[in-house]
Amino acid sequence: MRILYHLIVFYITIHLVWGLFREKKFWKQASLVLVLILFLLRLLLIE
Amino acid sequence: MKNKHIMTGLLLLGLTLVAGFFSGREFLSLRRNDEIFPGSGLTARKRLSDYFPALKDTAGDTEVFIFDSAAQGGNLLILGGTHPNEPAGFMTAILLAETIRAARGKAVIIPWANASGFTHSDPQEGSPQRFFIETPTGRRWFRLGSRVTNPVHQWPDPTIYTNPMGQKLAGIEARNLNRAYPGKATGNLTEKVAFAIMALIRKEGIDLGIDLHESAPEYPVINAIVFHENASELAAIAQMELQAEGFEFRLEASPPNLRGLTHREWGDAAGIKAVLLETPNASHGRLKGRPTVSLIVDGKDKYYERASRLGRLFVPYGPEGIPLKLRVARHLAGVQAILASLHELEPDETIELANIPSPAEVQSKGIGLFLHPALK
Repeated sequence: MRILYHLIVFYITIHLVWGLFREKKFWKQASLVLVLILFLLRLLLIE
Repeated sequence: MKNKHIMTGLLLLGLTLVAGFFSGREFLSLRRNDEIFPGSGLTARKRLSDYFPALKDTAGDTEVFIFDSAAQGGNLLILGGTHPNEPAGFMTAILLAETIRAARGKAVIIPWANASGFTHSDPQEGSPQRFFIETPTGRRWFRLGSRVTNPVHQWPDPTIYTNPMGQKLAGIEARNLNRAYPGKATGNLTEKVAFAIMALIRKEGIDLGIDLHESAPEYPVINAIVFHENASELAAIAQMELQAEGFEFRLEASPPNLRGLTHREWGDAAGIKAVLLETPNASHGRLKGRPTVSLIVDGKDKYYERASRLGRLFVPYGPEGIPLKLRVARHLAGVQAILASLHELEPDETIELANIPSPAEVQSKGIGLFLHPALK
């Protein structure tokens, strides 16, 4: 189950990072970052 | 600049890593247990995994404090932290572990029954991660957790949870220790913790189990002794004694069809006298204002005060609030009354605990005076 969890979170994290560099508008980049923090913590099984 | 957004992305990514580092460190600090300084009456310090080795090195393993008089008598189990967002429950267990000495019989105390639940807080509640109690040498900090096991330790929740007794519940209840009894050796983490507690009850020959809780002031089962039918007389005598001391307690019989709870399964599966005590706690009620450390410790809330005036609560809630010291005093009085009642009904199972802080003194002087002082 843990592997499945990691795969799901990793997949979304990669999309968030990809979006961060493709997005040209600053506020959209900033919004992505707010979500990215949570996914990084989940990826590391911290919270 | 053509690649300005790439530079901004890199900068924001760097900020993300910094923010992640600091917030991650804060969350990880919740995995370190608060310190307990047991009194001289302690005879053994064990872990729950000593009773069920499969729990070893898991987030469900937790400390067990044993106070054995070696004199013949009954054996008592006190559980705090079944729900880690109910501070009077685990603070009473901690206070007892730091003060008591068994004069007859044996007491087993588990202050953080759902250890995993203490490593996170309820999402979207804005609850503080910790609260403090003033002691003569300074503040002692204690974690405030979530009602349920951390999803990092047990995931995913099923859509419908069928507990070990076959009762169907909402999916999140799969992480509620007080729905998981009598537990399951091959079950999820929460069920394994419940299984380990049942193993402890059998191995330590427990006669009486007291599970300490809190509930929201708008919830009908409040200021109550919930009892298994094994303990109906015990609870009734205790209630009369408590009333004589000025503590109002309701009596609530454990419903036979509500499965998985301590006051049902401890009695059914292990045959012990099982009771659960509830005190009112505004900090996890639905009508509360801002959840702050002060709300947890002082228990003052203008919205609950208003709800009380409108007759919407099951306990009176005045401007003085319902502070933690009063809630802990109620639990202490409840434990003492139940032990006195046990002595009356089953003299052979008498459990005498010396040095229990007086409920009246805890109520007037605060908890901090009786806890081990903060380390400098």
